[in-house]
Amino acid sequence: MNERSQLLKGTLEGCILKVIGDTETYGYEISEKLKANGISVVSEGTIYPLLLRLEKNEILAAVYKDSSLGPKRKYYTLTKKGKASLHEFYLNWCELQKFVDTLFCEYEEEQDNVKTTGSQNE
Amino acid sequence: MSKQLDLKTNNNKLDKLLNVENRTALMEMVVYLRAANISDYQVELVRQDLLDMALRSQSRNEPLSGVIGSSYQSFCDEIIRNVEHRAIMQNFIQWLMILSLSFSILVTQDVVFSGYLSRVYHSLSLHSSVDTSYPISAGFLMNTVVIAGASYLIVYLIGKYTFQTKTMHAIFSAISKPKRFGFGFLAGAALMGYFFGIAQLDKFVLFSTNIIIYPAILLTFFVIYKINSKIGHAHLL
Repeated sequence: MNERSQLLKGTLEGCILKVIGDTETYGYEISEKLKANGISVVSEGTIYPLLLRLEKNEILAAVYKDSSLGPKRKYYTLTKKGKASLHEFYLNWCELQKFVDTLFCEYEEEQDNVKTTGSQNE
Repeated sequence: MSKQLDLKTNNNKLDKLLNVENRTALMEMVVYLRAANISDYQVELVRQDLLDMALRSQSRNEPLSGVIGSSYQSFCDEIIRNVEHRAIMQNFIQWLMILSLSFSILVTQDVVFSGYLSRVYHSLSLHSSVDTSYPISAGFLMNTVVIAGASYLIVYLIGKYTFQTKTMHAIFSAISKPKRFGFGFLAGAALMGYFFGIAQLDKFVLFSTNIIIYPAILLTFFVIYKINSKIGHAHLL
């Protein structure tokens, strides 16, 4: 679980950029979309400091809009720099994915062989 | 109304919509954030976001800890790490504001409690000439520095240790009654010693100034405070 969290940490920023890149959105909606896509360990509070950092680094632009509950809600969009960051993340991810896939292409086969040998010995 | 005050007033109104548990949690977080090197405006912006999160979790009947995690301090530390910090100029303006306001209050207090006003009243009632020279003692200067420093330290410590109040209360409760009495006695004695020292230092007049200068100093410091608060709001201190 911890290893999964560490893996997730490195990719969370890119996933958030993708969600915001799709449509202008706010913290809670981002966490719900991430959950809907299988990233269940992310709450609004987890991503809030990350959103603040991205905003500070001018990767995101934020505007406050009225909400039904009372406080104004912060909506995020990607800036030009943000769009470039998203594209860069995507390229890096594709490269990494290719690299990991190549490294692990025979892993499944090896595992199957180990299992078969083990059952034969029994 | 300035942008910052407007936001603060609105946040205070929304704060009343929170339940007791969430209000306490939010108050602790805001107090902690205020002790960090973040502008008041930035704190109010974060507070607005936290209010949105808290009210939404409240409407879903979900505890706030389910949204921001069980360690509010870690959450706040993450926020502090990721927001814009006050620039040197903003810090300078903030300090100038605090010092000018403190000094204008302490100057007024010194004039009121020094007995000078009653002496003036006495002279006026006797139709005699009023002595306009006002002594500035070492005690006054010492007191000003100590009060300003202690006030800042108290506010800073309250903010810094706001999440440790329960632990501190437990530690304090664990101390035996005689020990607590001993600490109280020592604190009282130290305070008495301080007042005695100030009373002695009050006898050392460093220089005398014309009393008319005092309101002028007071006014100058108050004007500095007002100008700074305007600049501060313009730069969103």
